[in-house]
Amino acid sequence: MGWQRLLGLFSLSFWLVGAAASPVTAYHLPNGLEVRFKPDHRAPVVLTQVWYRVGASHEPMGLTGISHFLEHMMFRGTAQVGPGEFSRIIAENGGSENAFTAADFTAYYQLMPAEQLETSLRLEADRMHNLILRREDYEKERLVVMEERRMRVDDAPHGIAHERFMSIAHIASPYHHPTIGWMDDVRQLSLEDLRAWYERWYAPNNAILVVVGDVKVAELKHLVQQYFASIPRKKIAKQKAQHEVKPLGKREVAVHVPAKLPWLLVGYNVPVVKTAKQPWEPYALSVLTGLLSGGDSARFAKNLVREQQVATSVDAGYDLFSRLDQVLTIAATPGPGHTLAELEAAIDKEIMQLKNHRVSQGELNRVKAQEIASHVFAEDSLQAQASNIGALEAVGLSWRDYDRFLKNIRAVTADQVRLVARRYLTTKRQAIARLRPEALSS
Amino acid sequence: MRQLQALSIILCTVFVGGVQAADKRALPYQHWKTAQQTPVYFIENHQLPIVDAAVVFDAGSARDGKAYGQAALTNALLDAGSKGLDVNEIPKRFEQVGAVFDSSVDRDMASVSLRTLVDKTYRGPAVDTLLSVLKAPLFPEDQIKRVKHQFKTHFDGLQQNPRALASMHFYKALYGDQPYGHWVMGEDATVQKITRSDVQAFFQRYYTAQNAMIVMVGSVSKKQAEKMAEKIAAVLPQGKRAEPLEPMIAYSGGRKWIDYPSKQTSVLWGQQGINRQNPDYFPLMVGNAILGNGMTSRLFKRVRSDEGLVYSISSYFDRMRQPGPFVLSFQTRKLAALKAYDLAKSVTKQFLDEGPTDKELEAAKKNIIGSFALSLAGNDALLRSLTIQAFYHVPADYFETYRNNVAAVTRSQVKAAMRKHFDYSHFISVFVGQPVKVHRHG
Repeated sequence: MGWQRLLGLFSLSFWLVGAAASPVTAYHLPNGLEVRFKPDHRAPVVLTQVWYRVGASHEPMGLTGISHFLEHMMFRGTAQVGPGEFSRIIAENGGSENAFTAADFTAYYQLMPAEQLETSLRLEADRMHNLILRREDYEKERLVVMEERRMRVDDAPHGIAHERFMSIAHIASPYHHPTIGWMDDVRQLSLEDLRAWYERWYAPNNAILVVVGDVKVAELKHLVQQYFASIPRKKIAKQKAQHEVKPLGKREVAVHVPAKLPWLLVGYNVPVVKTAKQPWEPYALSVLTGLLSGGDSARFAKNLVREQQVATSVDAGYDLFSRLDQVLTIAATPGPGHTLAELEAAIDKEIMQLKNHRVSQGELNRVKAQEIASHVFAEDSLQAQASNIGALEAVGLSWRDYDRFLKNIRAVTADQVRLVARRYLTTKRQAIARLRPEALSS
Repeated sequence: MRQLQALSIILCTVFVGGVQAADKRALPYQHWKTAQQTPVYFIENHQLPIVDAAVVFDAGSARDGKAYGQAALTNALLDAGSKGLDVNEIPKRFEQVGAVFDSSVDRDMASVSLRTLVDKTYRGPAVDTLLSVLKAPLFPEDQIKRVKHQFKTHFDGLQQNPRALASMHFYKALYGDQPYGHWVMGEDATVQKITRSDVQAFFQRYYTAQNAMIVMVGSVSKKQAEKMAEKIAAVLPQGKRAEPLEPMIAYSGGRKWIDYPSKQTSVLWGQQGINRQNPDYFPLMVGNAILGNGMTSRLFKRVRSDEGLVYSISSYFDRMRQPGPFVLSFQTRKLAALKAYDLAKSVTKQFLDEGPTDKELEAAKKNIIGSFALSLAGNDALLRSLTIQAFYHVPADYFETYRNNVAAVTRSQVKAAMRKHFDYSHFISVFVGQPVKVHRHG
């Protein structure tokens, strides 16, 4: 692809960072609540998100799954808003709502008609400090969470395999345990545990309010002041450092479960933006991931799926913006008549290629072009715009890092890609899970 | 450097403060036909420098005849190689300019879609490649073989997915051998038998200008949209529109149990529903919202919140060209499955017998009307709504009158419509899970 075309795309990214992309208003209240607002006047709707800086990676052994369980309980009512009322109010005012828990954060959101912003803010402020945890609700919701675990993990071969993979890929890191929690832990989480977790983590100074949509900043500021300013801050215990330890050798786990298809997970322990000693490394790793797996013209699709047919699907993923060190993960299903061993060998060969041969400018340009385009496409989605702000702020990065990402991706060179491949995609840093199907009979 | 500046100036003048001539309609589309009589639906929207285009054919799996999987296979092979562009070159051309190409099939429609940056430097090659894909797909033998392997892996994957198995068996029980009865991707036995000339014949019959519609949303002028649509229609053979399918009459009654070694039992319970042309459409949509759609629904409240029996439970109408299923769906642990089933049935029965309360009705109407704007927020959402407008022959003012139609629904209409359409004692039930010995006394 010609350099002129690529330059054109970079001017488009200039549009994103500078001229016409919506600016983000960022400020905080005296009680510590961080507020981020991005206008989007294309449709008369507003998305409100509250991100709490607590997730599965803050949980000790014995309390796994508690952040997620608490997320469920946040819908069960406050002093002001009775059981089921929260959802009823949102629904009646034309909104949709949900929440999600991840390793680094728990987030709640409503998508409402723009004139209903106040409803969202009032309800979120209320449950930030007035949640009532009732025994009968807790008992029912614990059953619900156990059903959710059965659905997502226990009855899903990939769910189980991924859970076992995470438990060996992460050594000292608290990313080691599942967000939904081990079943034993979930079953034994008590009402007192939940109360303590809520008291410990849910405070304005541990939260970010993100609003994207068709509202005016003056109105937002007024409502935020009205509903959030009086919530007292809490002393949030300083997070102890939890660096991943240096991997000293390959880790492997077999997963024998009733299934029809074998599956392979290969991961490498890698740094992220927050932890990398060399700031360019996570961006080079992102480009590397894109070279392997960034679409149907990428190396995995071209070489493994189409040419060798040793895989029916193979994808690589890497989250450079997470709170702690990560695992660059490759997931693959072998093609019919091919074994997991053949698939592993084929993947290894691609990794060797990256280490031994500098990637071409054309391929680099393709990855960069896709990143730029996808940044523009994300502007079409309120969810994407809001999450690109919230997910960064929740781990202590800045919303600006999302736009800086493009600049940093642009700067990645072929040499840097080869360097990170050699440094990080090593056998010592490797974790492998192999799903070996057992018979599917009751 | 000058080129870079020139591009950024062009971008700024296009995208700063673009206010359209007032088209206050909910779905402000323009509609015309190409020279080949292909209908075009277009929403001009200059807020983001992107354009989405979809070419939709009446070529879904309902057109398979006895060769189950033919529609899906043909669609999957569209980008497997065209004249002058092999299977590796096609994705490369799209991805070099950051464009996203996709193809998909459901029971009614087959489509190809393109999302591209609007600047000619990227849009040009993206559209050119789309035209190549549509004009002369080669369906190379080696690619047919490879994609069939992919389908085989998919069918194996189904075998380890209890919810997908439940859905597959439910549609089979409801429609039998009629066009909606089989899985969209077909079956291993039938797909293996499809030949290259079968695929070519299917393509020639159904991927024609007369059998297509073009749907576009984005930042191009009407003139540019006309040009794009003419180009697309021009590469297709004129052909004929697909014949209307014989009206399908669904089966009713009966229970099917599929043994599966899961911790949960998946349950589907329902009958044939309606399509958008049904005169009772709005009372039934409102009724279903109250019964089983979302956290404020009767099923959610009673079976999940009150009893903790499930994580997910819902009821919905699958709205297709001909009446698709109405189905209630949930999963729960093996020993609670029959209890949950009985409870879900009694909640449904009570709702059918009594109808909604006034409070429920008003809340549901407020939610549907209030959240209407959410379904039109963003180019993606507009494209989806526009495709419904185009494909399902809804009245030209379907979206304009939607809210008023919902507002006009009365309690007695809901009750009458649900009693008229639902014969719950003849619903079909499908269970996937471990069999449980049930001792019914008396």
